Amino acid sequence: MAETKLSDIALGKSGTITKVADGFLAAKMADLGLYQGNTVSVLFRAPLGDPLAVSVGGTVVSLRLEEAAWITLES
Amino acid sequence: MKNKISKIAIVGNPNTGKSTVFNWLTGLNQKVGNFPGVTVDRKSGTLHLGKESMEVIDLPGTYSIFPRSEEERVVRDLLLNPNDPDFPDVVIYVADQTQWERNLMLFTQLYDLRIPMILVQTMVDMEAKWEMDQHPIWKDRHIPVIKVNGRNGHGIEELKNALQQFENAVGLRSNIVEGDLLAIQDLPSEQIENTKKRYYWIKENFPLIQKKKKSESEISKWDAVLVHPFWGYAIFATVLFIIFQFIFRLASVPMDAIDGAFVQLSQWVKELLPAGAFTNLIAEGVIAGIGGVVTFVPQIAFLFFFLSILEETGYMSRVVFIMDRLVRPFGLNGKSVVPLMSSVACAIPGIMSARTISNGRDRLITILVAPLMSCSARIPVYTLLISLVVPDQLVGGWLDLKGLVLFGMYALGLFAALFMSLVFKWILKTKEQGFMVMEIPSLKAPMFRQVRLTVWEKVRVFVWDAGKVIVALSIILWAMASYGPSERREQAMAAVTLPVVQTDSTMQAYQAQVNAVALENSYIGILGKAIEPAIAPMGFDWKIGISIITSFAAREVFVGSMATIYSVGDDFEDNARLLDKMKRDVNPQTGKPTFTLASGMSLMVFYVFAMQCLATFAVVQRETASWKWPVIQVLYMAALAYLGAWVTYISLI
Repeated sequence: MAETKLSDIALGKSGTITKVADGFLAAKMADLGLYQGNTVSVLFRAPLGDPLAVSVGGTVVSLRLEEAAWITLES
Repeated sequence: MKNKISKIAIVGNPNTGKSTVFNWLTGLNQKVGNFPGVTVDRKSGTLHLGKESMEVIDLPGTYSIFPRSEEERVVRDLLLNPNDPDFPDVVIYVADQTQWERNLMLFTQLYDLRIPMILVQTMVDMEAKWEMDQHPIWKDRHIPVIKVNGRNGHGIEELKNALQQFENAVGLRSNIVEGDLLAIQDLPSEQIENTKKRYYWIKENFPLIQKKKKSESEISKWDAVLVHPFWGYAIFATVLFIIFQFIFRLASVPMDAIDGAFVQLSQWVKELLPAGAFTNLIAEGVIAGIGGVVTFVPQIAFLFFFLSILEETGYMSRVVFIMDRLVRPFGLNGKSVVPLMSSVACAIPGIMSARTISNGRDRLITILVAPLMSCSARIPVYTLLISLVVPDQLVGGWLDLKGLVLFGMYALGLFAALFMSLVFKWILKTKEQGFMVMEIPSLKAPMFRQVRLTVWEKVRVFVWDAGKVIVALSIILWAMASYGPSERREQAMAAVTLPVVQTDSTMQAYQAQVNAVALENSYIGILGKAIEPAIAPMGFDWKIGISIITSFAAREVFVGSMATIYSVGDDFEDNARLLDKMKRDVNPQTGKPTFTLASGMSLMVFYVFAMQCLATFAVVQRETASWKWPVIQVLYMAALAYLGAWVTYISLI
């Protein structure tokens, strides 16, 4: 069980969120389903690799790389 | 216990079909304004149920009762304050059944806050036809559930019945999640814990949701193309190309017709009413001012027609997604791209569409730089000046120099917009950090009913809200151009000698000359002459000074003013004669032609940068809800114009 940042995960791979770094966005992310314990998968990336789009709870959410780096996954 | 309902609020996540439900309930009985103190749309309408009429408010899309944006703050403030004049007797909570899990989160918050609700389930025409509304939990928790099909309006009658029969049962509620939501409003980590519990509750009670994986693969298939490193941009460029083709080809037809109609109306009023100052005020001031507002309507309508289709289908989110990284270094975010691109047609709809940018600073920056993009009103100015001063010449054997200069003007505008974004990013420090955590809605076919209502709403907002300011300011401009110190003006007009042989053509030439002298001695003319020393470094004389002042009404007025000053007559289309006269014009002070390559290029650069548009001024005033920002905008653009024109002039002379 390796821990990886969401920003480093390959396309199509998924994992369970183990940690969301504290900060003003953490609560906003939780509103959208990005909270500890939920499952996320990376759907696609914008050209230049940033932002990326992830699937969580049947919803597609886009995040900038720096924002995705706040989220740690276990995959 | 039945309660009388007089106020209804529609609440839900963004992209759930909230506005569709609102439109079905209220039809065209809608009003759009701002919530007090903020520039968040307040859409309200009237619903007639039997003898009763109720006010329905469509609240901005919200993910949580803990606000993360200005829109969400408006919703929170309203729903938590029973003394608010808009406080609803019942909330229609709209949830997209394909996004059930996330959509229900806010629902559970409102449930625990004891807000009376009817649950509306939308997107019933999409895949996944679980009988969500049959779930026993709704009965246990006293929540009426109605399925509504936004495309054909099925279910709206049931919703109306449910409203009529609504019984407030909040007293029977027990919390879904224990704890006091109001107590944790400023405690983000507590909020996260609370939110998690809500999601667990939803997952536990609606386990079906997790099995749904079909839409995911569909999203990827389409999006692989729409966000592709090559095809993504190619498709976006094609979409823009098609939109601009339509706008420039189609909007010009009604615009010319409107123009013609107002000229006719003005003449007709002049003939009908006794000659005098009042008639002139009506015919030349008021009617022309209103005409100046209405002329923009086709462009606004066409642009919002396309923009709302892009929005409705969900394509807009893909554009934001692929453009975000490219514009981020300039202090903009992906959502700034469409407003800026739209400004190439016309800054007004561009600025109005900046409402989708939820980050306050990014939105302000976008609004401030949007008018630097070269809009269609600059084209007549560019083409007149290019054919005047740029020689027919091929660069490198195959590139037309005139075309190259025109392209250069557009590029200069774009460059200036990006540069000024950087400057404003640096000046406007903010605590509000920019972010792009946003939902990408699934792709779907647009609903034309929605598109039509959006177009109607945007046009109405422009005509009524911005229109007032435009008409008032254009009357002032008109008065300054039509009046002057009476003695001086009349003497100058009388000094024009009547032709000896009075034929139609000599009289026309005479009248044109009188008009030229009248403008020269009007307040604007005097002002134009007074600023001559100030504009001389850019290579401009007082005639250009007058045209610059008059074209603050709208840039294309430049051509008309030039025609008046050079007394070509009223036929503004007569560019050939105007060109001829302008070419031969000599500056008495320097003894050189007024329009050289240096002064012509300098004037074009001036028009690239200068604000020169009353309508934009009025729209910025409305969209920022302040006078400060439009004034700052006019000033910084004027400074940029002055500097740019001066540098151009001295480097070409």
